[in-house]
Amino acid sequence: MKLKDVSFRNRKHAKTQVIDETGAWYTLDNAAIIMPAINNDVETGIFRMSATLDHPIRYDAMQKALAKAIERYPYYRVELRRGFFWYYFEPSKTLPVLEADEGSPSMGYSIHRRGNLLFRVRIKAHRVAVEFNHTLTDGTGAINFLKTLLVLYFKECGIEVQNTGDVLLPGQPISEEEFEDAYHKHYKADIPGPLPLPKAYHLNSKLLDKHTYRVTYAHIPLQPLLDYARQHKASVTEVLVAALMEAYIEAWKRTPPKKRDGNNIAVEVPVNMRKFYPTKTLKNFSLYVMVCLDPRLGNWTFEELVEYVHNVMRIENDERMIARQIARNAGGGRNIIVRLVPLIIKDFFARLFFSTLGQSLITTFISNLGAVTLPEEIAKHVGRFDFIPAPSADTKTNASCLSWQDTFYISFGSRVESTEIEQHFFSRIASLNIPVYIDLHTEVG
Amino acid sequence: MALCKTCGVDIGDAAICPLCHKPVNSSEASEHHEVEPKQKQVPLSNERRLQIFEVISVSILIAAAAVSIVNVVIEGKLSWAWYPLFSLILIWTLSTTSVILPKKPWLVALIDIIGLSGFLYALDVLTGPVVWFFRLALPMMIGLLVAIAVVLLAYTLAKRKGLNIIGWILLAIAEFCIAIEASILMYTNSPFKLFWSSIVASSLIPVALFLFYIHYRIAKSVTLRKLFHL
Repeated sequence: MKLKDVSFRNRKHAKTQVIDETGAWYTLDNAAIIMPAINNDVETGIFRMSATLDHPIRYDAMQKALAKAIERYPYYRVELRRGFFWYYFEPSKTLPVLEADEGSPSMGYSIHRRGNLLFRVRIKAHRVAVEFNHTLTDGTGAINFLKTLLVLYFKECGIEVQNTGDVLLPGQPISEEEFEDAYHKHYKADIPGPLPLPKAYHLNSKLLDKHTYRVTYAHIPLQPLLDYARQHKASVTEVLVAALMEAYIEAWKRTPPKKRDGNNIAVEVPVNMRKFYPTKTLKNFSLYVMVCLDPRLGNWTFEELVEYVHNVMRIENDERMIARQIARNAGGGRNIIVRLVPLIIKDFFARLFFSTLGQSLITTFISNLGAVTLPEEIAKHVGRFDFIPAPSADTKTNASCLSWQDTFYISFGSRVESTEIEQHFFSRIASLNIPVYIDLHTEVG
Repeated sequence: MALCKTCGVDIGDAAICPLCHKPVNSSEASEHHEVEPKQKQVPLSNERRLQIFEVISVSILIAAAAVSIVNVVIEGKLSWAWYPLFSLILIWTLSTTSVILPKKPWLVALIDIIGLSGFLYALDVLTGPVVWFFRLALPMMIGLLVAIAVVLLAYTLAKRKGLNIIGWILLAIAEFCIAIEASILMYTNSPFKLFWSSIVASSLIPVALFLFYIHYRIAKSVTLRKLFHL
């Protein structure tokens, strides 16, 4: 009986669409509710995915494709609004328009400005990029939208796709599950929250100019990377986490003790929760595993680090362990006292908690989207995909990656002048006899 | 097919790129933008400000000299002329601070309050032993200072200025009225029970709150359900 009640409550809380006299509007999902308060000129919360084609983008075709794509994703065609207690999404009359891909990626766009959607599509030469604010969705939602856009674009260019697979297209029914709040749907009452973490070490380097975000692109042949990971009974993500952790350990060693703001190297690894729970949601549904190491304990060889990361991930990358985060986050959102606090006060505390209980406990993050696939008719026209992490003023240098066909693409986004992390990371991968190609279009906007 | 030289995208038959708005076939156009000079408001130059300051100062000096001479000619010394002289000094202070300190509203407000307090103190001294300045005028001036500070602070911090500023002004008036009545009660040694100022405040505060509400919350598509969803 109790289980039935909880299930009913979960379903009720998972609904994000509300229909009233003005039509449909949406509430924010549990991961998104903190985002509007913490997003600013530097901490834009915007991550980016791009595809590079084998020909210059045809403007007209892409604009038509975009207009059709957004029809399939009405829950993305929204603007952010303030309520008295919570933010909400108001359906927008604005039709997304292609923008020139100039300046720093993921910068210079405010979701608080009236008329602005929470994503934008930018093109330059052969490349089309979608930049999404995390308030709207996570990497899964963004890559789905990009795939829809590409299929529709190629259709405009005269390339029909017979079997579109999992790509969502206009005309297909829009399921309510696509915009459900899966955190609330799969919330478990009566389980404890995650354990507290010590203060993390942060890179000690001068910040770049306010609106500058340096992105370093690289690509790595997938097979040697997979081979190395298999030899060490680890996953590709675990090898990359180990390399990133080592880079930060070295940075920690170089930092004078008085200038270290913490001694815990905490690497956040986002986890797609869709693999644990059945949902079709294209809103946020990712949490994270935190891999921590205190460098004061001693020295680790790289192989030991890979093993350490592998073991931590094996324990932590488990539905029961990650469910504690849902219990804390969704449970907090359901608390009647929290709900009754006016938004202006919530915003203040969100900024405070994000800084003290969020970013100060994380050294860096690395997000691996996994393998991207496209229908074969258009796959041959796409040279590469790139995935750029959202800029962060606290964690400063972070990485995102994905694989496309037989290549692994990794991008570092940094808000600091120092390139020591990128340098150490790629040197380490190269030292494993895995070729690393730093792409020349490293951007500093 | 036409490639934009700046963006590198195919813009079909268009003559101007819809992204960068530059002509397709003009490489020079992509390098040089002709921007029409915008007409902008020219702020007062220092020279102009000094000129205004000088005109005000000379005018007040002439008035001060006139009342002083008349007073001395009739009575043989300065007596009643002190009242208009202190008033003229106050007028000079109030009218010139914003001219010579154009971008420093906080400093202007502070100097004006000090000037007004000085004027009241001078009046108290002129009318006999100092009795009402410290117990009546000074608390009122502090109340005024707080009211002005509230409005200035709200104006400085507000990202969008409109009805919200009027709301803050109403709140400041309410605060000032309370300060006036409290000062009078203190001066007359009456029991501290606010009467008329509480009526003023209870009228102004709801209006101010309503203005804030309108300013920050109301838009065409807003419903109560959206505003107050929990």
